[in-house]
Amino acid sequence: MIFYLLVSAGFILALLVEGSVFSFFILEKALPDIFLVMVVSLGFILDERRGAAIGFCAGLLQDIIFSKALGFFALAKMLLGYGAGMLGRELYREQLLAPVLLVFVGTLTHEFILHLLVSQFIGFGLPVEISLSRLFIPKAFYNMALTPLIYPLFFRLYERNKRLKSGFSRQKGAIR
Amino acid sequence: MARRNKGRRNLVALLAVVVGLLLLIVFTGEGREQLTPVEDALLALFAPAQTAFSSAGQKIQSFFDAIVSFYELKSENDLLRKKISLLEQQLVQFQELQKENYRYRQLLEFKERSSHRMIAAEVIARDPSQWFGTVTINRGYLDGVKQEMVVITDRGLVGMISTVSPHSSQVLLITDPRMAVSAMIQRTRDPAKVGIVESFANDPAYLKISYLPPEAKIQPGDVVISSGLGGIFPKGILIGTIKEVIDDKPDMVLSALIEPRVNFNRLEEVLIIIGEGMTGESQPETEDSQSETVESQEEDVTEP
Repeated sequence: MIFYLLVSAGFILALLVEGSVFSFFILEKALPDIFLVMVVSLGFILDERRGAAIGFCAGLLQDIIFSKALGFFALAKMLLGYGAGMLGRELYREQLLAPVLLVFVGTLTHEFILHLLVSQFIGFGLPVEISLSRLFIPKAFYNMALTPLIYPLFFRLYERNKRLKSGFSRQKGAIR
Repeated sequence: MARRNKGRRNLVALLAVVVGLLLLIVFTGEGREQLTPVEDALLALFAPAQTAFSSAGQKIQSFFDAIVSFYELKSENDLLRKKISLLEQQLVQFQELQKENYRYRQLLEFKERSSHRMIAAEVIARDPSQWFGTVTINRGYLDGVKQEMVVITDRGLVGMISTVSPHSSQVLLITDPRMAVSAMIQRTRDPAKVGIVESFANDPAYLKISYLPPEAKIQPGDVVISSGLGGIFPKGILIGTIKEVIDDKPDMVLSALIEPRVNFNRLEEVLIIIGEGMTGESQPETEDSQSETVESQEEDVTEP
């Protein structure tokens, strides 16, 4: 429970920081997406179900705060959380390389999904090749650079929470 | 088996949510009139925090902008300073060239009008002490310069060559205490009323003409020219104008202060008279040509 509370606080903080303080770190025209890094990291650490749920909630929050239209970020991030969770089962979670690469690929996937949704349902958007070079790739590198800061934090938090939980269970067993 | 079923259930649930979200996008994508109460509440909850973070963000941004603009301005300032310095140097060079050009043109015009054969020379050194009036020029005996050749400018008499080396010569100026020039008043041009022009010990900026007979009747403003009697200086070369008549021995001889036409402190280019006749051609010296020389020297010239 504490883990999820801290994760929620992290998302809220990220939401506030992303829209304000980070605005001066504009690389080309792209901004980092901390939400995305957090969703991929958590999906990778946890599993596909929880990854999708976290992605859905985070995306919906992003939809509500930043866009009048609902569902765009929720759908993209939910799929991303699900995918990260599926891959997390197959790869070593202790190593940083896998989540870093996953964030890079995940960012490109996330942006392509959004591009597809926006062009299909709203009907605007830059040509994909221009978006790729000007927005998607810089953003992917940006997010990739943020991953070594965010992923270990969540991983340690999760491991600590797990240890606390197992210790608590053992204590409960001993009392019995 | 149970795990596979669980996975399938997850996938079905995911597809259901995807479909639900797509429907949500369809309904909300085009824009909505009103937000739901949940959205309203969330936005109201986040608004103050967003304002605070945004203001902090702006401050951070302006701080970084100030740093960036400071360095940009500094580098721009440095660049402009360098440019100004370069342009100032160029301007000084340009002004020097302009002045040099003007002086050469004056000398050339004078040389063309003069009946003497002359070569131009540049002053390359001057005696720093106030005791002697000598300058060094960049022409020597390899250029045809000989001792006792007369040195002038378009303004008037400068002096004579005292020592000669292969590529340079020393000029004894008429302000030097060792120099004496036989001179007369241009207004009268009487060869019987000649005086001696020497340096003036009390004020090195002036010359003194002495031993003029009282009947010469000199007056301030009279132009003093060389008389040609000494054998070194040709007749009719402008020396200066009478500034003040010194009335010390009125019954015997007259003396007067002369303001030289040549500014000896600013000598840069001079002409050396190497012979008679223009551009190497021998021309007989006539009174007319001499007076023409004097008249041309008398023309007031103003440097730019």
